[in-house]
Amino acid sequence: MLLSVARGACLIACYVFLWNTHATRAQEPAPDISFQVQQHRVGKSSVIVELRESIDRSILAIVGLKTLDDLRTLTEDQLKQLFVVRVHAATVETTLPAVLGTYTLTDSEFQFVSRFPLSAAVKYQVQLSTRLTDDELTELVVAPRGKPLSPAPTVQAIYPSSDVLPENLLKFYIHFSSPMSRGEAYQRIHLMHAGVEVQDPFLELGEELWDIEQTRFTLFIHPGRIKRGVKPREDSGLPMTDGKEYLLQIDEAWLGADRQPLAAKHTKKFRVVAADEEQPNPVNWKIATPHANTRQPVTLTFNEALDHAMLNRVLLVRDPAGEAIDGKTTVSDRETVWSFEPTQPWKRSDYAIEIATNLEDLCGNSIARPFETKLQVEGGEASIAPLVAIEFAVE
Amino acid sequence: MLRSKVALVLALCATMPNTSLQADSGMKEGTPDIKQAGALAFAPHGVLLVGDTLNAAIYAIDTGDTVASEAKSVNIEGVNEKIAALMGTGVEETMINDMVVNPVSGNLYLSVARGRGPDAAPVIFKADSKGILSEVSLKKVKFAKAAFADAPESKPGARNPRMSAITDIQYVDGMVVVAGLSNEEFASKLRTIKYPFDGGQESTSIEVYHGAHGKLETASPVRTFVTYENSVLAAYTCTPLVNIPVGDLKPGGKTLGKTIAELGNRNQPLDMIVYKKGSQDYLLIANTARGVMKLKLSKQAIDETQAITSRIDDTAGLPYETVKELVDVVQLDKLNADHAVLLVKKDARQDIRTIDLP
Repeated sequence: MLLSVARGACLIACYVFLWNTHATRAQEPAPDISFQVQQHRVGKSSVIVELRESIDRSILAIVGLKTLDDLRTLTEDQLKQLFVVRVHAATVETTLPAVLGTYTLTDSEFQFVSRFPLSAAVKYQVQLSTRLTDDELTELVVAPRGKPLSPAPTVQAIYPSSDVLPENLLKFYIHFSSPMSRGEAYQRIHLMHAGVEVQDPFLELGEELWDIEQTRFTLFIHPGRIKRGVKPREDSGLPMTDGKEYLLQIDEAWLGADRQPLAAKHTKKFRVVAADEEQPNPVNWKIATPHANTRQPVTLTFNEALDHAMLNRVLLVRDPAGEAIDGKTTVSDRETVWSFEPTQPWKRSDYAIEIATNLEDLCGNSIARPFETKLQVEGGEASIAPLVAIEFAVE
Repeated sequence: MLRSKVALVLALCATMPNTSLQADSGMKEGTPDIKQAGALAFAPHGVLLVGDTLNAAIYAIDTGDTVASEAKSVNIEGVNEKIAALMGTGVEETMINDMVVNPVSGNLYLSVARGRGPDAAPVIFKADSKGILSEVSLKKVKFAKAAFADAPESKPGARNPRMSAITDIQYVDGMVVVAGLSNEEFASKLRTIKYPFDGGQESTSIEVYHGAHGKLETASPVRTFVTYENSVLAAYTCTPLVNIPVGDLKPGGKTLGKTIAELGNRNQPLDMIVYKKGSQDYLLIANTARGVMKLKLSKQAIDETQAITSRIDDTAGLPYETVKELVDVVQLDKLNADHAVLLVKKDARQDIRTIDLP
């Protein structure tokens, strides 16, 4: 394919655009480039600018240089002046600084290795000095291909999963099928009532609360709108109130980590009921115990829904020797049932379920403390153990 | 960003702070395994503290940037565009996480993410008084790392997605104080780590309550904080400004702070600095919606002000004024005795501007 490009006073140029997938250059030393290669012929000269992209590295190489040996006396700073790579600016007036990277001369070419892999989201302007070509200042534009795109992300689940939620609900967890993009969450999530968006219902943090894979987003309702006596609630009231229906709406414009938007908009409809100010109390839970020599689950059934994430993290089962046993945790029935299936069959013995007392319900009330507690005289409150245990016998 | 105005001796510090310590105390040469460059602060001798939420750790990096300068200003128009260009990408793929001044050299440091996904690259840039940006190389540097005791696990079959987002860091004499927010439980914890890091110690966390809500106390997360006259002044996510005597920060303990101001509805505090003008101390607070607020500070005023413990009225708490000419400020730090540096965000563009301290 032959393309013509003319930009401003720059004289170029025609360049041959060759696209080879999974191509490597035989004459070069074992490159870690096995991803894709583009070649751009510079004018009518024998000089070619080659872009090689791999997952974690991009190289722009000038091959076919007649003057290569003359360059070997130059410092890297001098080399930089001859071969400048910039992000292609939207306006001609803008002069952006050159892309960071290192310049080297190999046996057969002049290489620029960018500090970070070049991005398929932008184009790059490559300027070659007259010292490298037979033409005047030569400029061309390259467009990296980047990594192949993965399927568009989807919303897989929202917790709490119930469609009946207390008016002092503290948070939602939004689970995605693949990693998402940071920095736009609060633009993409809306709390709607009767077709009208509720204003400022969420705690918006520049850091955004993700898990390490960026597939789970934690959305806190603004605590100042829930707590009694602070200005946000005094002025604006609760963001959700008893007896009304709401919609949590997630825009399809929300971008995945590789800049693909969600496959579809997602909504969660729910009805709001009275506030829950009671702490979770293990005394109110029911336990179903398994039989010896089976891998039947031990099950806790709660009298209310508890925090989905914490149910998966802060409970563990210990054997009579006090060792934590391996197994699989399942949270079900709208976060009112926790069960644990051991990897090995139960023995006829005593076991214990150990629970961190920071385990919360849907409103931030934990076993250790309610979301709001009565003002204590300093040091007047007995400390609460960080763990409680529910013992059970396997027969 | 934030910096201590006065030297503090924290009750938690088991040994007397060593003010004569060398920049590289407890450090080894290598390449720190930083996954995310977030909150920043400076320790003495040009040591940059970097908060890494993904690794649940604070890194202390010897920048070697210890030559004092007479820098009066740093100004960079379109700093995000320039940083994006240097990293070979667009502004959509560039996030400036924090900005801090090296008090020794007057140079500005910015923590940046190249990309918005989980594999975004952490990068630190330096800007000098001429506004020239350069990457701070993390290869073969002297550094030390302090990991939190409850770092997220990532072992097969037992993935632990809990993380504590580090929202602010501050060095106070012989100690690094860290504010954070869990992505699961709702808690207010300030962590303290002895400095220099010795590689073996664990952080200590203190649960901080504040009484701002009638007869109810709460444990809301701290968003940003400064230290002043043996106190931590902490701005909470639910908007009160709370004074916590440093002596109350006891390991594993629980303390009750005094609410000294309400920063207002539909607003989030972003960053704070303390400075002196003439003989008067001031606190400057950048907010999401309510501009930049200025409060007159004194230990006497904090001690004598009536704590906000009932429904909001106009008589309790410290008064503040809004600095009208400062808008869209997302980060601030003190450049020198007379000037502050601001990161100003307007739509997609971000600028660095120097102002006279108001």
